[in-house]
Amino acid sequence: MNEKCRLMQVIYETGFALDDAALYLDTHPCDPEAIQFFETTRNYYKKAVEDYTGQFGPLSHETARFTAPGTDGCGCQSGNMNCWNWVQDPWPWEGDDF
Amino acid sequence: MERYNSRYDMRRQGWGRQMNGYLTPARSYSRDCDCGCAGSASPEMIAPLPMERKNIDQFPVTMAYVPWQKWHDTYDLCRGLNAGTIFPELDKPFLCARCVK
Repeated sequence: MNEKCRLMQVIYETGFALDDAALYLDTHPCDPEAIQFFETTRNYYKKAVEDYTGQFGPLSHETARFTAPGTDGCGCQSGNMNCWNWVQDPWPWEGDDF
Repeated sequence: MERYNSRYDMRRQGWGRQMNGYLTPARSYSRDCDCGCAGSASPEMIAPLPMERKNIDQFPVTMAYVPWQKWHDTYDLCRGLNAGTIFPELDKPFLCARCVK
């Protein structure tokens, strides 16, 4: 498993655990163990998203960035302003190296 | 039967649950309370709370009970994702016939 795949797996796992813990917290909002679990898992999730997007591109519009023209396969002409890196990765139907 | 303009009017007049399409007087089914409904019920009509029962077979019929979940150890994150829940007590795979846990 390469690093990209490993980080994506961590994001899937922590993201799901957060959703499940949130459902529990909806009915147990003061449960200290659940709160601790949520906080810890959320930190792992945030770190994994940060690492992934820093190395492999955005996962959502929120994490998209504007990069210099000509980088990452960008077709923009040099001299243009920075370009939207959301479209520089393969689309889901184009396949990837997962 | 006098006419009512709305369901709200019917509730105000003490008409309660609907059974088989007919409205029945709410006071026949409610405990004494301070809500102004003038309700009263004979002791045998009042369903005991579950904790007052020792045998689940004696629970009142048609009522649903959901035990309160408590936080215990969770699955590790990888297993939780694969199982569809991080809570072992909620991991009840359906195997075409019945739950196995």
